Amino acid sequence: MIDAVVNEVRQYVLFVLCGEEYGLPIGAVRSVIRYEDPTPVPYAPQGVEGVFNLRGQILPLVDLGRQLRGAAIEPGPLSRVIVAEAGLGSVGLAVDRVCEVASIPVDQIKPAPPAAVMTAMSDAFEGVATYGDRLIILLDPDKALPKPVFMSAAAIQEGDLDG
Amino acid sequence: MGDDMSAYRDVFLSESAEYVQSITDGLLALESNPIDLEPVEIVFRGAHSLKGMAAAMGYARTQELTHKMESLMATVRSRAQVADSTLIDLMLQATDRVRELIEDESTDQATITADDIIARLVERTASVDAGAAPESHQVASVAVAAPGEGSVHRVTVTLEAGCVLKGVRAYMVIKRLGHLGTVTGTDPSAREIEDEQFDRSFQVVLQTKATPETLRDAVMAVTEVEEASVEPVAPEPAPVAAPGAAGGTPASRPAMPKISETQTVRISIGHLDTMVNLVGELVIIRSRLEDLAARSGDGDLSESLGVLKRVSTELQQEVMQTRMVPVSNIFNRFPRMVRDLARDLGKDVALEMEGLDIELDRTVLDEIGDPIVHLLRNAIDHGVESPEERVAASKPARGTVRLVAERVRDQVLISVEDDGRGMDVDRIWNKAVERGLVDRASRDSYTDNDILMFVCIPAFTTVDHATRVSGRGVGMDVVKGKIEYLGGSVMLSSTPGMGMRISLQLPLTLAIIQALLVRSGTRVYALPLSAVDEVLSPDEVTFRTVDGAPVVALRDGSVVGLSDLDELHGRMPPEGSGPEHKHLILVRSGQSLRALSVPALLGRREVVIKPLSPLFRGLRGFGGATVLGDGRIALILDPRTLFTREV
Repeated sequence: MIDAVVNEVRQYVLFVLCGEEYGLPIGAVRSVIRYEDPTPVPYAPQGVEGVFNLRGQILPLVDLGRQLRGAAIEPGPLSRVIVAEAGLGSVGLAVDRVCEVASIPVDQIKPAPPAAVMTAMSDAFEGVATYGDRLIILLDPDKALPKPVFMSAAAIQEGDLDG
Repeated sequence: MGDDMSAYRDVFLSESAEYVQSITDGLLALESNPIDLEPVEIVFRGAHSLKGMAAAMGYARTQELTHKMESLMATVRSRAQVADSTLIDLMLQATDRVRELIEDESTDQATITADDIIARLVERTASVDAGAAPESHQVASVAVAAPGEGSVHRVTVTLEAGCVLKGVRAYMVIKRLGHLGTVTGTDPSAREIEDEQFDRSFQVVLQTKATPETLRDAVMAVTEVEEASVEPVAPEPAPVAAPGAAGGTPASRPAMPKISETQTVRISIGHLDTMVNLVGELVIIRSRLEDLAARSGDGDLSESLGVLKRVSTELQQEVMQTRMVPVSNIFNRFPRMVRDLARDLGKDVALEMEGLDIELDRTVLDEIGDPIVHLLRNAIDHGVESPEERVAASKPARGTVRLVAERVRDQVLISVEDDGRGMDVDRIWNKAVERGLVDRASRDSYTDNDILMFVCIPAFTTVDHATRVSGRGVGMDVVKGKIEYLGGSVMLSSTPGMGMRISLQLPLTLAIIQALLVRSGTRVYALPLSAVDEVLSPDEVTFRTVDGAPVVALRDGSVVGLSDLDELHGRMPPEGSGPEHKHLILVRSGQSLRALSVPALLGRREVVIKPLSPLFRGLRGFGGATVLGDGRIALILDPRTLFTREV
């Protein structure tokens, strides 16, 4: 019984972005599909590349590379879209490559080292975990997403000039 | 058995809700005209029917309460006392309690009692002079009144020889007669009539106070009725002289629901949603097949597809139709709400409603209840002044709030108007300047209506809770958000001192629209056909500029602003592709007309609207997206926000 508590594990979907390994809690992942170029949406919030069609549902595609690392992923045969459930509904997350589903013991999960989180997206990192000899960066799916933009005062005036 | 009981319960719940509503309506009508006996009758009968139904269901508490309500109304009916406002209040409270009791009892709970209300009802009933008051007397008079009401008539109805929908016509006849009395039987049976198992004639037996002429007129008013004759029927053994017939009333009751039961089926909204989705998929597959057929040039295939198209279009219309519900379904509760609210706030307000029969998609209707409540509240709380203030401003002491539904093309317009103090544009403008939303110098570039719309900016109102921006802005951002989520839009107009009007423009249905597909480069966009006034070729117009902004002069001399689709989307049109080389679409949005230049037209298509993710909230210009026949996605242009990037 005590062992069961100590050995509690969490499952993560592991994927690669810019050569580093990340993990998303499996509960947040709906499916993984092959990457296809999305349909661009003019004036979409930064980080949202466009929309794609998942069996009749139209979902936004977020380039996680651009979002987390400032560098867009380079679409190739291994590129994948992780369809994740976030607070804002289903979202596609474009990544370089999806590796596996890993069971990570809770005691292997540590808070992210402060030096690593000095970016605008620092919120998104839930922690880091050692998995074998690999270091996995664990993501909070909700916080890794771009924020919806409301029209700012500046935008109103800009629009006024346009019109 | 449990299933049986729950089936009865569903019928009971839906019917009791109707009675509760008619009692409420009756009481409100009575309040505005206390000497009119017709609403008294409605309330009395409503309570009586509820009592019978509750007894049949074994809901003892509901039965007792409605019985006491009935007794009180009997004293009004016999003119032993007048329905003053305290009586109306009491009855309304009792009606509320009935609703709660039914809820409570139908879910097998016992958390609510009505003892307090019952005591007050009894007290008020007894306040009439002692002779008329004793309850036994009330019961007796009721019992006599109910089964003995009027006499029994047999109505023989003959439909026209060419009548196509015999079952429906017969149903209309029975329903109308049901309004005039109690239908006790039909020949052939209701089921057979429904199945059209009769030649041209059928008979309806009913108990009614109405004259034979009234009955005949009512029947003849139904379309395709050729002839109707009414004859009295000798009373069946002793229905009149049955003072103990209170128990007999519920027994005759089941005849009523039976008729409606056979004509309508209750379907969970979940099934309807699934059907709409499936039909949506069908439409997508159909257009995909159409694309393929066009490419293959196979005549037979195209012909079969033509048939498929016809069938699926009809199917789609039918499915959409099943979801249409008249706005009266939600409007009905507003008179009571307005009355209570006005009273609480010390205002004198009359609510006028129009267009109750306008139908809207059920999902749309479910969502707009709260926004409308909000607008009504605003109108009463902040719009309509106190009676004293109104008189001082030479207005009638009683304010008027109008709630109007009307159909405009494929949209429904719901407006809330009041004749109160209106909104002060200058104050809103100053507030916007203070909040840094706009530059004071740019005042001329905003119309008054643009400025009114500022109250819908979230930060604008919530931050300034205390002064409430002329008192009208609170929660407008929520209203606007909800309406836009539904694919609609909000319009405000105000005349200071004279009142204001807030209109909600709503799509009739959410799911499928006719659209004009346009292409720019590799991107395809869908423009709702409802917003397209005309498609012009460039040589039909003259290109000009006004104050540096491009416009086109139309043949009829009018001048409209010109926007380019690419430029609206922040892209430079390729070199040498000025508007003179493009197609021009005249796009209408509300009152405004603008020309949109697009590189290529792809034709008309039916598209299934899919909502965009909340991530795109705040994005202007798009009303959703759709999947084309080839699987590609087309964004749906929103004509209302396409040309402006303002709030």
